[in-house]
Amino acid sequence: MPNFLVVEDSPIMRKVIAHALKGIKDAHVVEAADGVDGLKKMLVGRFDLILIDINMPLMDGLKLVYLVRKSAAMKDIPIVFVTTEGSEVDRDRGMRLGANAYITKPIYGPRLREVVLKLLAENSKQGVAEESASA
Amino acid sequence: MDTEERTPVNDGAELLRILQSGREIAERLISENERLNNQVMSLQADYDERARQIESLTGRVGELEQSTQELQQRLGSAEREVQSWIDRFNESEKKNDTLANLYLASFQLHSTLDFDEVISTLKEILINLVGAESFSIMLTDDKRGDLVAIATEGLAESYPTRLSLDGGVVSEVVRNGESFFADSQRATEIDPNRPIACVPLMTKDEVIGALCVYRLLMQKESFSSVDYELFSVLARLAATAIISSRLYAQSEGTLSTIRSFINRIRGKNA
Repeated sequence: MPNFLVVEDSPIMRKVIAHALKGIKDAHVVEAADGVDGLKKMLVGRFDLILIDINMPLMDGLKLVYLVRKSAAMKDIPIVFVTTEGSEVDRDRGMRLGANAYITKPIYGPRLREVVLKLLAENSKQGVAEESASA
Repeated sequence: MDTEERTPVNDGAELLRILQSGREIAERLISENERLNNQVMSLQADYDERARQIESLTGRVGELEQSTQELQQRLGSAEREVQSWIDRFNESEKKNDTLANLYLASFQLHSTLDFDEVISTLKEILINLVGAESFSIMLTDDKRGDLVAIATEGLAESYPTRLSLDGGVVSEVVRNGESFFADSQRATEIDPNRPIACVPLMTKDEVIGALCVYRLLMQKESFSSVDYELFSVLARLAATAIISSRLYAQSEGTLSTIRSFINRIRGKNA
């Protein structure tokens, strides 16, 4: 049962993304309204993938990803940026910070699901490989 | 010199031997000729049989080629049909996605009666769902007979707070109640009277304003066919939400006035 965290300051976008993710079987979605709220939820919850907006109050998405990637417990969680910032410079910056994918708005539900499922599958294979290596 | 004496008997025996030898040779020749004739006939029969087989196989090849051609045509037709179904599925998926977004937009717009929250939600929808970078939300001012910009996004400070209804794209949209979409949606400069898209905010037959988009987000090349529908329906939803919030504000104001009047009367009677 995949557990998703959506960190997005726009209520309507949180609902749009949550609705798109609910198209994935047994998906469970938790919403956070800004970077600080997102970080709090990450510390108490366990997520299989996180979707983050860049432009948010209190703490923006770039800062949030930076902190997540510095954390030993959360550094391997797949992260997808979902943002209005569409330039190559923004994309490169996001990916260099450690995001696994970068999707620009307006989003298309099936495309979002495709990207998310691919990342979950890759992460799952990696997890199995690491377990085999350590066994 | 012959050692044997030549006599008529000896000559006759020699002749007989010669004739017998000749006969043997002739018989052998006839026999060989028969054998060769039989061989030729056998080869001829074999040749004829093979010729028949070749003809039969040629006919079969022709049939198979025709059958292959028919199968290829059917395969091509099936592939086209499958592609057509895939295209229809993709189109349905897009429409489904749009409807879902419209439902969420409608839900969000009508979840509040606060005018400012309605406008804020409308701005979010225009940015996140429509993909507009620069736009203005205009409402008609019946007293002054023009349009007033109640909210803008991504526009310079020099953008006018009011637009006249004398002429131009925006006034045409407000007068006729029909949406406008420019042929090219890649704007180089922003002209308040030349939006790339302008959609009337209207309920039933009353136009209360317009949504004017001047620039799209850089990752969005242009509006798609689904976007036109989304935008138009959204404008109607927004219009009802704006009217509802205004009416609510007015009724709250009236209610507040009545309450304070009643309190005053109670105060005097006390």
